Amino acid sequence: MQHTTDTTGPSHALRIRNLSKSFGQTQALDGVSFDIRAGAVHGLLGGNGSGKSTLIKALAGVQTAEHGGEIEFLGTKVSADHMTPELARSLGLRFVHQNPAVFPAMTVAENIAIGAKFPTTAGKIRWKELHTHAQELLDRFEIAAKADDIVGDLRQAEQTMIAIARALQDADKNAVSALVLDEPTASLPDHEVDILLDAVRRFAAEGHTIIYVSHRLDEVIQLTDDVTILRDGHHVVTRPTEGLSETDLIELIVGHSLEKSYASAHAKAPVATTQPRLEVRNLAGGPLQDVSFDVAPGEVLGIAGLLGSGRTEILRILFGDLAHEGGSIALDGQPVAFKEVREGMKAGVALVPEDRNREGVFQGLSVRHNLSIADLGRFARRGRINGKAERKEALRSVANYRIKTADDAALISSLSGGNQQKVVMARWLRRKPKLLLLDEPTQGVDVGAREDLYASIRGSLKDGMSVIAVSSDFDELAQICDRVIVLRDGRITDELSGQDINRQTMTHLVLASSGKDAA
Amino acid sequence: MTLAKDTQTLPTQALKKPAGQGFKRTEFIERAGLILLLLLVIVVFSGLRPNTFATYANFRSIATVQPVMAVTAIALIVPLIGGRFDVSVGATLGLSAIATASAMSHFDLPLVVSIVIGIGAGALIGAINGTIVAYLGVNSIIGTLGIATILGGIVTGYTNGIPISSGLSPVLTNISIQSVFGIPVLFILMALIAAAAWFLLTQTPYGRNLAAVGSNAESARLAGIRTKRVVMQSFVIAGSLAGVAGVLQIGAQGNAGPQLVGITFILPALAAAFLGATTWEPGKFTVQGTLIGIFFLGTTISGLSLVGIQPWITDVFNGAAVVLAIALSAQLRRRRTGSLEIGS
Repeated sequence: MQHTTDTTGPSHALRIRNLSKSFGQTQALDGVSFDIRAGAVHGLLGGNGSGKSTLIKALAGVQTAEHGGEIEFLGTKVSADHMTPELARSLGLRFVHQNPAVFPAMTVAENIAIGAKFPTTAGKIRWKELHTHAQELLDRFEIAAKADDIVGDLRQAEQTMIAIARALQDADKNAVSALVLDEPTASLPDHEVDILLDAVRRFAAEGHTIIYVSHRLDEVIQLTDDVTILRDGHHVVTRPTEGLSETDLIELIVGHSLEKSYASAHAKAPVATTQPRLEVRNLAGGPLQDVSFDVAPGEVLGIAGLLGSGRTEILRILFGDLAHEGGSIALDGQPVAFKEVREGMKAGVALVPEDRNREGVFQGLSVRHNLSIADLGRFARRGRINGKAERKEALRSVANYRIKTADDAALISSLSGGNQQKVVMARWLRRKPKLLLLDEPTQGVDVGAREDLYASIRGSLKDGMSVIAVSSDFDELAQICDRVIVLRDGRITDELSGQDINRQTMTHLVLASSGKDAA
Repeated sequence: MTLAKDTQTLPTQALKKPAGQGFKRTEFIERAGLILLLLLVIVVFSGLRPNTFATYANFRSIATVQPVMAVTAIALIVPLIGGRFDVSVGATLGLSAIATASAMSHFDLPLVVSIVIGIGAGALIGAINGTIVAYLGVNSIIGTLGIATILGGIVTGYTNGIPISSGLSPVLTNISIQSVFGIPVLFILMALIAAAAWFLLTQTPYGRNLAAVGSNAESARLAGIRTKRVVMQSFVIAGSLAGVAGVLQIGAQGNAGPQLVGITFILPALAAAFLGATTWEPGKFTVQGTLIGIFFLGTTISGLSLVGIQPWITDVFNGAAVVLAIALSAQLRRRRTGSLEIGS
């Protein structure tokens, strides 16, 4: 048995004391203190920017919290600014992240061994022993897989469970450890969620303490014994889950109760004063089902939704990067069905993608070439690029979009993230699109660059450009959107306009199982 | 709105800013390093062998021998800019030479038709390589290595290992001794081909798209570039250029030999391509850099042989040059993009 735990009454596995962390002006965590009971499933809740990710990173030692904070696990006190990943691990804290790092091409046994150690004799892997060990783990956690199954062939829920089993394998059956699960069901198909929840219950039944982070409140109520709620970096409450409804949780997360002043999606018909720029009817594809909405010329429509809600898929379908399975799209009254990106671009659609490094920027190329890559045809005269015209246009973009660079011939990799994003934005705005699609447009962008980006979007709106913006930052949606639709599990559940577009309302609606029940 | 104001007061002084202002010394050394090294090699060997190295005849010989390798190296850099290797350019060169020679010698076809057949054969091989890499998703080194091996077998089978040297057009076979104002014709042809390649790679939308695909294929796709087609075309261009090199090879050597198809033959070209990427525009494959690389290697080897070094040293030198050049350009790339990946 563990030392020091069984003396006091309801034993606490984890005590968090006075945890603080700030990034520049932003106070991500502000003196957060709470306890987590041993052997309990403890829900950790909060909206975007509430500080829960920072809290988990501080526990894992990935980001050290400020001096003065303390983390106590099973009687061992650690000063928060001394936490390291190695220390967290040796204490018995285990973490499984949103998209667990499994190796899909390898077997279950190999995946499990990679987390710990391959058993070897003189450098040769003792496969038999490895398989026995893996099979024991699979049996122990009742995972429906065999040690020699290829992980990529398994269902996603099972892949996540294997990642959990891997994290817990070296924990002695008798020793108690704590497992942090960060939104483990966010990217799971609905029918697989229950499989994972059952598995989490079994881990808890073994005596492990589980810290469960999720946006799915129904799951939290079903699964957890206690909950802790954070808001704007502050600790709101830690209490037993029993007796709490989804509405109660939402009120705690948002901060106050909400009058139902917003209009529901179906109640409000689109105002047909002018021809809409975009008409989407009964769109289906990926997680999307029966999605219908309009966007007017010069309008900014926001899409609020959680990861896996289908928000990115809408943009990809409209851009021509993803085929839709049903429904129709009309641009300026003309029905369209783009088969590839080029067709979407030709019709006047532009997309600023979510992952700047992977999908937006050409790191090895200059600012100028990064700017002109999507409209080279404009500078080509009889097959040759008019270098002078291209350079002039590049300098114009650098000035107009306030791109901070030494020279337009400088490599884009020499720019800050925010300025790289301005280049990607400028690349598309230069094409004068009819419809600009923004996927997390200011992720990892500092405040100053953010304002510049908004200003450049506003400039094009006056020319009649329409915008659809997806963002996890609801304050951002509140700032830039004329109207916001709420997407949940692939369906539009609500529509907001005017004063209703604020972080609290959006957080509320995104978390609620359905807009109507919640209020 | 602030934006509107900015548009009106478009800063004209920014437009007047001179390009590439203020070269730093380190940057200059980096950009011109290989040229300086080439000059150093010339000075050293001229001092060591003033009567054999520092002669018009020797430089003429270098300018006659290197063009084939230079065109081969230019063929290599086209797919390299798109992030792909074509190790079959040597074999393609060999097959194109045999096809051209055979058309003249065995089928009595006119020179021009024979040249078209040789270059066409190269283009066709390029199309096969491109299909395998771009549309079947095969790793380019492995895919083109397989094709190269097949081509080697076909050439050996067709020729029985005997060079085709009779019935060739003297216009082609005498080209190595022709010159215009003292400049070898082969060198002039190389310069023309290099200029065309430079134009394609730097002055056209195609060249820009290829560089974009090589830099980040996913970003390129989302910028509306047909990435697969661009990669496919880069292999067709490489194959065609290898075909041109094959035709020139007949001119340089006077016959079409079946022994050219191995990997070792293209090693100097590969070394030159990567050496070239460390100079001129460091971190980028350029035609100019590649030519400097070719003549640096060719001059050094010429000098070494005149100093009386054993022939096996040449292999060691070429091999070492490849590895060093690739390692160096990987370091330069790390500086440009901030990360050094494990070699693929």
